[in-house]
Amino acid sequence: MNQVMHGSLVQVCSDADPGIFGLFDFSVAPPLLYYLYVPMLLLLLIVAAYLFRNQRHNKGAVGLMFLNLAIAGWIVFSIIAWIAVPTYLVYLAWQYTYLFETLIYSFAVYLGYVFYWGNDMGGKLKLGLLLLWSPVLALSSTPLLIRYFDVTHCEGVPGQLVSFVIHPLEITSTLIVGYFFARACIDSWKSYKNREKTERMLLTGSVFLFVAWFFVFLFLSTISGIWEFEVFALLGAVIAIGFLGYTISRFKTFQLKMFGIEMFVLSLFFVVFSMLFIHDPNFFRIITVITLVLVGIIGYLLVRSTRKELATKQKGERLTRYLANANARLRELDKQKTEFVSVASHQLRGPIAAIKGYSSMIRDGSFGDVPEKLQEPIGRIFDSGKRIALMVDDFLNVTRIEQGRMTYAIKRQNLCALVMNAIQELQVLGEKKGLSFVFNCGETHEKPVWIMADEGKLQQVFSNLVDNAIKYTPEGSITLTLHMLEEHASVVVSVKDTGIGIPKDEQEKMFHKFNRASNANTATVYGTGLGLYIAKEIVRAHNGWIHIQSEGEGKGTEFLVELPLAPEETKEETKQREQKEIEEYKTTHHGTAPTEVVENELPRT
Amino acid sequence: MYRHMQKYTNIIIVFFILLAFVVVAYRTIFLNDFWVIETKEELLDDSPVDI
Repeated sequence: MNQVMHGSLVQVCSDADPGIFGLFDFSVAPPLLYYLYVPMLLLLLIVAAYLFRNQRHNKGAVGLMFLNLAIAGWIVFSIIAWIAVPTYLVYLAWQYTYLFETLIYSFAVYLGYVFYWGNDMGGKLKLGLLLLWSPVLALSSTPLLIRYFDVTHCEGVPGQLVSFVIHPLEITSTLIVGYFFARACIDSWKSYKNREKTERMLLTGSVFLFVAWFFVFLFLSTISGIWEFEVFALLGAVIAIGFLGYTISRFKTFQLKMFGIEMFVLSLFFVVFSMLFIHDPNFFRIITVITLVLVGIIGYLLVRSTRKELATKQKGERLTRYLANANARLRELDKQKTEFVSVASHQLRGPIAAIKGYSSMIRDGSFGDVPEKLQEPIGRIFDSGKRIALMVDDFLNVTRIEQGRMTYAIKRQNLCALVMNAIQELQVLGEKKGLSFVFNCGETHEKPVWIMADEGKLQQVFSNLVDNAIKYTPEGSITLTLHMLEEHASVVVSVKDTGIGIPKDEQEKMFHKFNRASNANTATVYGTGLGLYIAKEIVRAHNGWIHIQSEGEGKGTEFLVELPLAPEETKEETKQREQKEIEEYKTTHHGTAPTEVVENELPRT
Repeated sequence: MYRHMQKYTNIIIVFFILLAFVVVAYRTIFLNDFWVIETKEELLDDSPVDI
């Protein structure tokens, strides 16, 4: 029989010219092959390189990388099958195309498994997969794969292996991936809006889309003999691979709607691009239908999302306007409140001073003897007037702080003397209550500690802290100590008592407005809850820091006030300051000069 | 034994795949071990093909 010859006898396909090096003839293949296969090949290789570079430790990404490489191999040998001149090369390309098809379906099953279960396939399953495809690997070099080589059409005639093993295995693989996808869909449907399950569904879905698409179009191409179907098979592959690569890399910031539109636009681009190279009217019609469907879907999605977005934006704008108005109204109310408190406090000052003054004068007998039974009520009127005066002062201070109107007359001050002056009156009060009082200037006693401060304001801070200590210490002692912090160039004043203490969880809140400790007996101990807030603001204005320490209820409290030291003074500056102080003293004491100023000799108690 | 094998599963799989590719290439390129016909339409004929 001269019809059938051994491969070595015929060297070239009959319709080919001896092209480059006698191996390739580029004129044989239709232009569509180069315009679509080559860009797709590049795209697949780019995605594979990206996955290798960035996602090497992700099993799914590695599987996808191999799938990409298998498809790339399939494309390369499909091109070679078209353009190769020697029969052995065309024959080899035909066999390799089938081998790469085997790999493509195997990797698709692997990917479906990894995406669904979220971990690598076990060794047994991998070997099982190998066993399933082993007949193809073992028999691929025999005529069972390609029976004969048709030298006129320059193509192989598929053998029994293709019909009875490869195609059934391809269908099986597609069904396995479909099974993973179906299970992922059911899981996702059962747990509504579960991000992880949605991700699995999308991933397995895209693998299924790929294998099903690839199989259907290749099968159509084989049975119909129309080569163009292969192009559609690849088109689906590229879209699905792009979808997968993107999903794997970007799922953490994944926006389904936006992503869907991007993918549709990409596929539309490919479809319209392919129309440039198709002259067959039937194919042109098919592609136009696909384009129409895609345009319809994209258009619908775009209009819907734009409408939704517009509605959300309008709602947001309405809310913003409403909030801005509410905010302005609140600011106005807050301003009115502050002004009201300020005016009311100022108006209260006069009557309170009258109550205090007259009750004091009556108590002291300025209007004649006071009957004994009236002495107590008058004493109470005086005490209440004093309390109201203090409260009004607190309100005024808070108002000034909030309005930024608090002014500070900062001068160089001797801290030890300042603290001493602040607590003098209170010390008597504490001792009356039976508390022992210790004021220890420590090492600062030897040498004055200079700070830059507003004397009156800072005295208010310390008298407030000591007043609190007296109020909340039923028995025991109150200790004031000064420590130098050389490394910080600052000094710390500690006011420590053995009183009722403050629960740990309330300590931070103690410096908030109108806040008092829960264990403070608010019914019997007078207080507005403003003292510590004002103290904190004053210390902060002195670039200082105030802190509270208490081991808990019944374990006493310690307040620490840290203040920066004043810079060193030159002799000239000292002289000028002393001169100024003497002049001020003269002004306030009607021209008499102070006889002696003793700064360091402070009494120890 | 199985654990040992599992460690090398990937290598075994890659080996068999490469082997298949190499054998196909060897038989096709070096042995030219394949059959050529003028046109596949001949196969549709009922006449027996003598190989």
